[in-house]
Amino acid sequence: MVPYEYYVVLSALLMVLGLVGVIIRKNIIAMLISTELMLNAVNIAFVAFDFKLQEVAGQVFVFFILTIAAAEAAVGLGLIMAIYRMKKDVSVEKLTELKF
Amino acid sequence: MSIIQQLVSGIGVPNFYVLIPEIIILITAFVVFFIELFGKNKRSLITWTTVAGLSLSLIFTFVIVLGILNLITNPQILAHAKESGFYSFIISNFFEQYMTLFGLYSVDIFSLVFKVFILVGTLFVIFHLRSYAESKKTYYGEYYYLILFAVLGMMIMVSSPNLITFYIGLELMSIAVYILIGMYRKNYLSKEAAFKYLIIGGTGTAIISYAIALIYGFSGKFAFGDILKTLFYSDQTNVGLIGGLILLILGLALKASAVPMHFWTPDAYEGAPTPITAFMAAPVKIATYAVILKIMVEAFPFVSEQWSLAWAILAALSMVVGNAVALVQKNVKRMLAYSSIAHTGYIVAALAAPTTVGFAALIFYSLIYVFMAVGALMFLSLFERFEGWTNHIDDFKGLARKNPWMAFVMGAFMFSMLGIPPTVGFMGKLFVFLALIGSDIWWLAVLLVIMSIVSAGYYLKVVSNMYFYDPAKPISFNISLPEKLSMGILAIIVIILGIYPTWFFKVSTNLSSILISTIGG
Amino acid sequence: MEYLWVIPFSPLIAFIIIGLFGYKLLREPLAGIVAVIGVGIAAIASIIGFIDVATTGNYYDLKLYTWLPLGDYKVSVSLFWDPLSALMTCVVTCVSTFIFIFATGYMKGDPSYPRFFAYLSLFVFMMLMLTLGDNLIQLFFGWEGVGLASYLLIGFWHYKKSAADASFESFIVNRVGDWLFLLGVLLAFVTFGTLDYLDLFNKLPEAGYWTVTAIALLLFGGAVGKSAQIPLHIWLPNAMEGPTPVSALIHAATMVAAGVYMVARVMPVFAASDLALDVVLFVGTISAFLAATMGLVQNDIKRIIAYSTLSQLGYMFAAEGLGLFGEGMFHLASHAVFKALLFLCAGSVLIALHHLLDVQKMGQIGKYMPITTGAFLVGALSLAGIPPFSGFFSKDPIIEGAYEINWVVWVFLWLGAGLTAFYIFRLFFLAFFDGDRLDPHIRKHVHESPPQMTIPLIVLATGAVLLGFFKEFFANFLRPSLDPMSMTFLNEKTKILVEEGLSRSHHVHIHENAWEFLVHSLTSPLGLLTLFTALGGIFVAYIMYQVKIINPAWLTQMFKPIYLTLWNKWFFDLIYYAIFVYGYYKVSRFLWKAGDKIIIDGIVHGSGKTAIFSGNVMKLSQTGRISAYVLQMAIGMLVFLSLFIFLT
Repeated sequence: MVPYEYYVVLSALLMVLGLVGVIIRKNIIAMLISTELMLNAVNIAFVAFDFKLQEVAGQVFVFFILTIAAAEAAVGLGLIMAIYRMKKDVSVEKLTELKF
Repeated sequence: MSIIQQLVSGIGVPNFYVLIPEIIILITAFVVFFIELFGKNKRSLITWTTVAGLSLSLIFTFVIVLGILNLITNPQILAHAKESGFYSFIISNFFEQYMTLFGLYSVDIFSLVFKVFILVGTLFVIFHLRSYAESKKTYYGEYYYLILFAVLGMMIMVSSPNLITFYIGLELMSIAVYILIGMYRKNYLSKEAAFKYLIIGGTGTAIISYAIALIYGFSGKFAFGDILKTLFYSDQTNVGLIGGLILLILGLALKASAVPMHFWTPDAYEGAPTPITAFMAAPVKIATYAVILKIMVEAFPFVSEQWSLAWAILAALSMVVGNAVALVQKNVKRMLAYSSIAHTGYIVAALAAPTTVGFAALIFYSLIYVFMAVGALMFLSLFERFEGWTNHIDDFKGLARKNPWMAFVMGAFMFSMLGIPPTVGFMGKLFVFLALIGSDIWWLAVLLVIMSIVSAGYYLKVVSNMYFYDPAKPISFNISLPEKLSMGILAIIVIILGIYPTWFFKVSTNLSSILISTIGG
Repeated sequence: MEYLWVIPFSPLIAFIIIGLFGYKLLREPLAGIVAVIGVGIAAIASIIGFIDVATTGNYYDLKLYTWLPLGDYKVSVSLFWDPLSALMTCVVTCVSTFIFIFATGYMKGDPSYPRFFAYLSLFVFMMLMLTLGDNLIQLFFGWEGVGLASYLLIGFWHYKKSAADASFESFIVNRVGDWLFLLGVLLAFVTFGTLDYLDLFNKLPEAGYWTVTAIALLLFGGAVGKSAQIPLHIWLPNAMEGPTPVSALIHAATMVAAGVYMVARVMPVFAASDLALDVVLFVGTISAFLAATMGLVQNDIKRIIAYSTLSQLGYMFAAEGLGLFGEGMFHLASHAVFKALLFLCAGSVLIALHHLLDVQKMGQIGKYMPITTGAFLVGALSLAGIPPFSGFFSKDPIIEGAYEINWVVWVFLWLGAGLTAFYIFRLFFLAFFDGDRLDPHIRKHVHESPPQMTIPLIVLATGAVLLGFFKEFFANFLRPSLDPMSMTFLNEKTKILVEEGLSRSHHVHIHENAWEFLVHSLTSPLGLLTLFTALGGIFVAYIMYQVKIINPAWLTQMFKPIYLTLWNKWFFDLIYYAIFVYGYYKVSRFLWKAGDKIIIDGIVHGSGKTAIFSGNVMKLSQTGRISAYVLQMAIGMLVFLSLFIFLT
């Protein structure tokens, strides 16, 4: 049987991967997906910890996170649509009018 | 048997009535939603429904503060109150902590006071929202129910006794705010600001969730009290827990816009419609400060060494970066965004001193910050309606000549943010300063003073532009009497509290001692 | 004694009324009348309170509410009514009343008439908070408040660049003093855990000598700034840019005397430290002498009087440094009367001459303005210390006391008295008599001022004549506040401490009765010497500027270096200008060492630039790109996580 630590490490790796994704992706849709990836990494961590603790509370939390991730994705996609309509582009390079 | 009692027993939740303010907000939000969907000629109806809902919620919050509902619903308490006198009953009620929803929701005087200020701040924003939105041709009924949902989120947040409730409240608030920022019709900057905040805020959400996962994983609990007990019985150097705590602090710092997690703040504040900026700068901010304090004190008092140092570093960075960058801003709205970063620095600096005095200072400063922040940003929102006003620092030139009352009002807010007596901002900074000195954290106290002096550079620039220059642009301002009055009320509050802060200070001191007394309870 | 609360709050209410309705409802005459009524009520109430204290000798400590709790100690808004504060309050309210009446005439036709009276009322309120507080925080609040009011009033005519500059300068210079003062208050709080005067005095014996000295010196630093003593004196002459009633009220009679009052108020603290008293004495003496010399060569009518204010304040501080606190306070009261009189006369002249300030261009005004001239003469004689005017009874005891305590101090004060008599009569002869140098256009319009301006002059002149004869009354009146053995609120230990501190003045015997003092002065060699010095100063002024036996131009040629030094005010302005305005470019001429350059440049110039530069640098991190934001956040998180995980 796989020890729970492996899952936690996996979740940490996914988390970092998501963070790196937000940093390096040029496409804002990919950026949004990266944030979703981070949230899913948290889900794995919760399940792993539940496995360790022999409880279910963490899995309940997973449902909340799923809901919130969905809401965030909906808002994000709406904004991407609006941005695309105005700029005809989804590159992060265009998203730099507010600065300094 | 009264109807309320029947309702309560019908639902089968003890102490259900303490949720009434939240339920009112929720119902109002849905009512506004349906008016917006189906109504005709609905604009003033929406505004007044929202105002009515917020006011009603405010009234019920007060009712709960005074324990009156408790009196009505419970004859035994009524008899007891008659015996001991109502005044002492009300005082004793301040120490009451009502748990409801089977321990998932706790209402005490701490959360109630913050709810009052959240609602008051929101009322001021709602009051000016419509004229701004209409003059900018960006009116939507959605503003109102989204604001109400965000308020609901904040109220849940400050009442949370565990990390789940806290998380739900935080996200309800954040997602509503993401949408609100992007609601500026046909304005690209607003969309960009919203998307930036969405991505960075989403990262913050992920960080907070991961922190919660770690804390849960190493303590097995979500409730603050249980986490505290675990920490108390286990060895305190549990790396996973500390890591979780630090991540949680960083996530909260992101929501409170403390350096180095502040990057979304200037952009989001600048891009958002100005009343929404005011909403983000005042009610959202103080709810965040409240929840930071609550989590730190109720869940992690035994590792206060770690988190006080962490907050001290965050506070120092925020003060330095916020003030220094604000100094070189030309756009006043963006300057106020940086100044709000600096203010986050001043406020969380109080957490560097984990004592009753420090917590009292944090509460005091957060409460008074509502008036200054709402005031200064609503001022901009009022003036943005006029053709030619760009929020540029030069637009303020000669304002005292053209509109002396508004110039005075803005002067009061600027002096208060700068912290010059007799405005209340001075008191806030003084209490933080005293708290820091009391805990012998001289470096941060000195930094606070130095940075306040640096901040004079940009606050006084606004004042001197208003008073010592001739008008640069021929803009005419006609501000209606109710608007002048509402701004005047804020300015007078700022000044009167500076002269007579005693009552506010008593409230925050009592809140902080009550907060500490509930540890482990 | 609750009625005493009327004193500070009636000017405040006047301020609020004028502030709210000044331009809309009240406008020109009414705004002034409201202000006069506000301060008049305060004056009447304070006189009633004064009489009560004079007859009973009690003291009252009334607390309105707790302003802010600092741990165990609670700062309250309070009213402390003892002889000392009663005297100061009476001086402030009574002199203010007459100056307010005068100002209703002086400011006639000014477009900002209501604003002027609003500021003046605010000033009086702040000044009364200062005098009436029972703790150092309230004193500091009033201290800052009068500073603010003074700043607003100096720059009242803000369209004049010189006025705006002067107000800015006074603001900056005062901040230096205020910081020292605030540090003193903080140190006192840290040391004693209280800031109420009475508790603080009674805890004095517990503190170490050097702590008390440090507190006293820091507080005195504030007094030096507020009372414009050397080296922080430069703002006061320039503050004359404000309207003349402001110069009379704030920059002569009341606010600048606040430093003297403060030292007397916390007298036990100063008395507990020899060093502090010596510093007060030194600064006072130097200021008294140097300011008098600077006054010799000025040509601006208001600045001459301003330098005499500096000099007289120096006398008061010197008296306090000598341990003669009662004499110092008496000189404060009499100075307030005759200096307000001199300034109001100057104001009356200015109105007649359409704000012509240069005395070299005046002359023969006496013919046209008899009342003003007479009043000015009374004020000038009083300032010069000629019996029987009040200045004689208040200033001569200080000079005489100095002789018995420290002869060096005496020499300076004595010379200063001669110079004082000379420069004030130089002004008198040049402006009111002498040849006819007036511009014919102006001369046509010269006329006596209206009654609301001359009546205050007459009242104040009467005061300047009569006040001196109450010397004994004031000495007895102030005893419960300034004589340690009669101070009922001190405990035995503190009494002994203070008594020892004031021992330097124990052997001094000054006749308290005015007649006895007059007779003594006219019979003893020392008294006669002082008197003849003053008369000599007047005589020299007479022969130089009236009969013109000696040509002043020739004198200036003869003693050119001295003249230039005085004309440039001992180069103080120049030095400060060089240091603070031009930074190290100018200072490098004075300071050769490179290290000094770096330090001064770093402190004065560098801090502002550093802040802006760092702002510009930090701004760069806000690139506008989400990727960069998240990257920086990630780095921050990494640093934090590693820091704390390795820490634990």
